Amino acid sequence: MSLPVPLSAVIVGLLVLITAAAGAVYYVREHDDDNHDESETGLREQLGALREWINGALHTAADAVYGTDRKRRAWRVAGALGTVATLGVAFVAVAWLGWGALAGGLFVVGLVAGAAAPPITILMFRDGLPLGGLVGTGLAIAAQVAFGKAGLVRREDGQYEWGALREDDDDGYYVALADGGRVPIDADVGELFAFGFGKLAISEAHGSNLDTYRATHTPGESDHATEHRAGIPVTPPRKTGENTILVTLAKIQRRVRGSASSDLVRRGRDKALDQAGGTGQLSTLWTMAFAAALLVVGFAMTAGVLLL
Amino acid sequence: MLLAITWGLIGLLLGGSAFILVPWTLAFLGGVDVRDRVGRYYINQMTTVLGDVALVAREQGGLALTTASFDPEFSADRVTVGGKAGHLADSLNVKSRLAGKPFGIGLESHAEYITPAFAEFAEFASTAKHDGRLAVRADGGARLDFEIPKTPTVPDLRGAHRILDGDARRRFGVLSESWAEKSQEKFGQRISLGQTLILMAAFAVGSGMALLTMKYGTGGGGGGGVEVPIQIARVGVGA
Repeated sequence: MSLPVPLSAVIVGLLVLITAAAGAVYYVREHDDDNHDESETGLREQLGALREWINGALHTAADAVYGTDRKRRAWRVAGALGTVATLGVAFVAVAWLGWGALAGGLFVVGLVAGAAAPPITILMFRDGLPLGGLVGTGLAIAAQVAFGKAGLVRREDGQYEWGALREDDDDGYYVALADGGRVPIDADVGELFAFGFGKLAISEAHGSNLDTYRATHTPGESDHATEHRAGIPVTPPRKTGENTILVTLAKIQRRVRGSASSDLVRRGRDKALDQAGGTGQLSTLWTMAFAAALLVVGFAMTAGVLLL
Repeated sequence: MLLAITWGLIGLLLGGSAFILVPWTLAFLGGVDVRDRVGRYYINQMTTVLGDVALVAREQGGLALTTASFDPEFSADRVTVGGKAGHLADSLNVKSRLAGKPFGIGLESHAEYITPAFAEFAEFASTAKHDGRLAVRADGGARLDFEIPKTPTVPDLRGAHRILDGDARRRFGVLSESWAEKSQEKFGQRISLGQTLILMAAFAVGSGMALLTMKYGTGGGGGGGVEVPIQIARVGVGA
């Protein structure tokens, strides 16, 4: 079964174009050294100027047509969607024209079913999906690849958001929240976690959520203690740096009291003793009763055998 | 027909891969807003699939994403990291939600959910202590206040255990259960070796008595066959 003539022509044309482009790249690389004469230098300068002029003209034209960066991105997305749609139509056309209507129809059905299957399966099974851990990890990786650089932030209200890590020329990194707010993050690229083929910053907003731990700056020069804790005089809180938040260990300690306690150990021991403890053993009374019964049985059986 | 089915399978394959490839393409071309939207879509799907999610700061510095399931006997979440099961308690009450599903950040080393703020506290408290600001002073007093940056940082989550009150490790619950079970192995059987021997001996004595009775009781004359049982009966009643 042969391909239709126009399609063959397109493929041959594309191959010719690729070959020509590869030849041009090879030629430029081979001749791009410092050992060339002045005429070549002049020619290169002219070519460079021409290239710059073309680039400038293209940018001017693009700005005139597409406008701002945002518009250009929108056009790029539209272009990508158009390319995907064109590819889909091209596949359908090839299947239909080359192998008949049934092939084209089955291709369309398969395409729609394949595209719809993952989200529908996830919606149907939810956390009961077989191999859910593997699928969940895969989706986290997919998200990280899409983000490139991501930020997992805890908002002031305690909820988490996992979004793209944006960069501002003035403020550095930040994560834009769904409610329109933002959480700035002071970090270098090297400080970010490597996670799922992407970078991840994990941080928490410094707002009203930290009020519980804040200490009030006590003005004055004297270090004379104004309060005692467990009988120990506590030096008045003093803020020394700019752009800092003064917190106190006293309040933090009150919050973390009882954390990482040995309660887990006790619970593990209790569970084991409850389920596998030595409470099911036969008592002495029952042992003696069974022994007496076995004595009689043994006597009777032996006597019976000997009598027979 | 076979070729048509092949085209159907190709369509299925392309459609399935479109779930990943098309959004990725859009994300790469569409700038940070589209990246954000696409990434959040996958995070939503992830939390739907996993249900109850824990992001665990591993001891060697990485992160592990895992599912958590509440274990009522330990009153903590059971999580498996690196093939080792353990528990994460939420005594700080910091477990929250991500994309509408339960989510918490835990430690591989210690049995506790934490937040990035606690990791920051631990980090800057350690620095303040190292600098001599946060310490018991020579005059017997103490300084308890220290400063953290106004802009959130990316702290080393592993170090958050320094701010915790206790030192219970994530696997302590599982280990104590296992050890307590092992300690009870001898008592877990309903019948011990000694009891088994007593029962066997009782059967042997019964059989031996029958042998003696039949041997000596039937060999003698004048009704001697009943002498041994009678003697035993006498002993039994204390006559």
